[in-house]
Amino acid sequence: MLLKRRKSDASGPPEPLPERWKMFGDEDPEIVLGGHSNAACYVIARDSGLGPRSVRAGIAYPADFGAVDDSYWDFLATAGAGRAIAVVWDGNQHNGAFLVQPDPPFRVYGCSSVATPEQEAGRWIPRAMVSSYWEPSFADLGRTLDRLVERSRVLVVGTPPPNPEAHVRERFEGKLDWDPWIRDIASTREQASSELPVSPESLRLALWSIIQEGMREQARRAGCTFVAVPDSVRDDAGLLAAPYSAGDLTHANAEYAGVMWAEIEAALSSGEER
Amino acid sequence: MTEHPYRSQPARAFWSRSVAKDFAAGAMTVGPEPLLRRGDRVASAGSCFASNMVPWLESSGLLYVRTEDPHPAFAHLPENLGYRSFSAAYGNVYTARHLRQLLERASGDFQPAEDRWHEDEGVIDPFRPGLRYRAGCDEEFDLLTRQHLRATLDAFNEATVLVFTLGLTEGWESTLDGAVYPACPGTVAGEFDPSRHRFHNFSAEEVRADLVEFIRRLRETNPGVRVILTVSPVPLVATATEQHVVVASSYSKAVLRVAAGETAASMPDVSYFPALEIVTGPQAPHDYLAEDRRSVTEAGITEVMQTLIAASDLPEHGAPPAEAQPVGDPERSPQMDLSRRIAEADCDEVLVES
Repeated sequence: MLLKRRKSDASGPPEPLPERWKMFGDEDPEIVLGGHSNAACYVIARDSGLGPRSVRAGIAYPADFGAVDDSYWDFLATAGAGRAIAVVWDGNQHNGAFLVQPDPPFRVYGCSSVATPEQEAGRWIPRAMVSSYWEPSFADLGRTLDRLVERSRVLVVGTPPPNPEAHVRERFEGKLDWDPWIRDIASTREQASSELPVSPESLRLALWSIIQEGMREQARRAGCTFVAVPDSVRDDAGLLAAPYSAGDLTHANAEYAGVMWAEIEAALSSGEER
Repeated sequence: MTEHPYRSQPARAFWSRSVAKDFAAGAMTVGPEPLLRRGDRVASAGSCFASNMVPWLESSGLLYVRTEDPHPAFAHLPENLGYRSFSAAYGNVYTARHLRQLLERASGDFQPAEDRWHEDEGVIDPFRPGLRYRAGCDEEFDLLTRQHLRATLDAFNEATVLVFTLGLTEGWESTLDGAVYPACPGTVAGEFDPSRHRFHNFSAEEVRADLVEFIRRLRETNPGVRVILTVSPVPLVATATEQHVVVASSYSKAVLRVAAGETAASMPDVSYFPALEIVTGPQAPHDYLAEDRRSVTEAGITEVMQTLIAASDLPEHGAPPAEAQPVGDPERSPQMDLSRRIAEADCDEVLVES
């Protein structure tokens, strides 16, 4: 339990704070998983018996499933001391910045398997420039890892690929109008919320792959293991396969977390990058 | 007293009347037509000194042609020196051969044999070795390079005036096909290989021929373009010859000055602007060069630009802004705000639904 001093009586007995951070799962875990909102599905997966199967696991997460802050990482470092820690870091940057088609449009080459259709418009932006754009997030991850590795073996877990356009479009249709800010912007553009231009799948995939590369690089630099998202949760285009979507725009579900738990367990036992 | 040709010469033709007293830099620009005119679209290329003129031109009401600005979402990210200083992202173009080959590459008429270097950090463009954001693979390199060369061609073709500031005669070229690099391989990036790279000190005739060929090619697609040639007053930072750097600089500037003068004299709508003389001539104040006697001071740049503007017909005779204004604040991009808000709202909605 967290405690704080009363303002009016610094010498008096501490008053209890509501517990903001909670350890879900095993009381004596071999591995503690934690991170931003993409870590939530791991709580549900464990509660649903979808994983992990061979290790005792705890998930350090906000008790109210809300946002984390600096003190959360203190909690995770303490909870994971002497154990393995799996970090699920951010992973929504591509949606937060570029879910709606940028103006003017741009393209990013997918150096891996992701091809950009020739008919798509926009200038090419170097992948290295996009990576630099997200460098503050990567640097924060790096600093966090440097701290965690002092007392734990640390794994960095890949984050869900972007959803197919049809799924995003479905979310846009009528389900965003409850937000007056989005409604006003759409109105200013003389568009309905459902007509807001979604960035092409190829762009969102390329952006996602840059985020994965950035996390992999930070993991390598800090001496951590990177656990990549396997092809089994991706469709033929490389996007998040429908059975693994949480239904919203950005997150994956417990089935996805079950697959990832298996990847984490395998990495934990082999000691090799997945 | 007999008549002779000097009798009809103006005061500027006499040292005693135009230098020893009553010196005015504006008198050094001659010609019936203004160098720059209202409505001109100005593109530029050249050595680092050339980049100084851009804010002056823009504050004077001229349109400075830019065809390769950074995307607004990424404009706040830094780029290395020079690649955002000119009309397209070609960086510093020190030699006339480099300029000529740049246009040939952009036109698809020259494909250098050694057109990329592979290093751990990515694929490097030998003709833009200092670029901060390098391609990660050959395919990305091809896309980015094609895009850059298209932007370069657009800049050259959109301009009504192209200003080229000649910087160096000393250059490094490929032994395979004579492709000229802006910097010696191995200095900014890449590796120097004496079997593939060699030094070349261009002669006045070579520089003149390259300038003439560049202008001829440029006018094939942009027939009305006027060209202003200048020579950078900045001495060499180092020489690859056996000469003292001062002697090598003197030679280099003399060669460039001759080539620029002969080109201007031999081609229509090509002018020479005396930036070199304004900063380094015997009349120039000591403080036009900094203590290192190489860097041109603000006073020197101001004199050069005020002289250029005075020799032009421009809407305004402005001075450059005191500080470059930041552009492309990502926090102000409506699309990015919208993306962020949608992603957050949808998350919130899920929580509401749960």
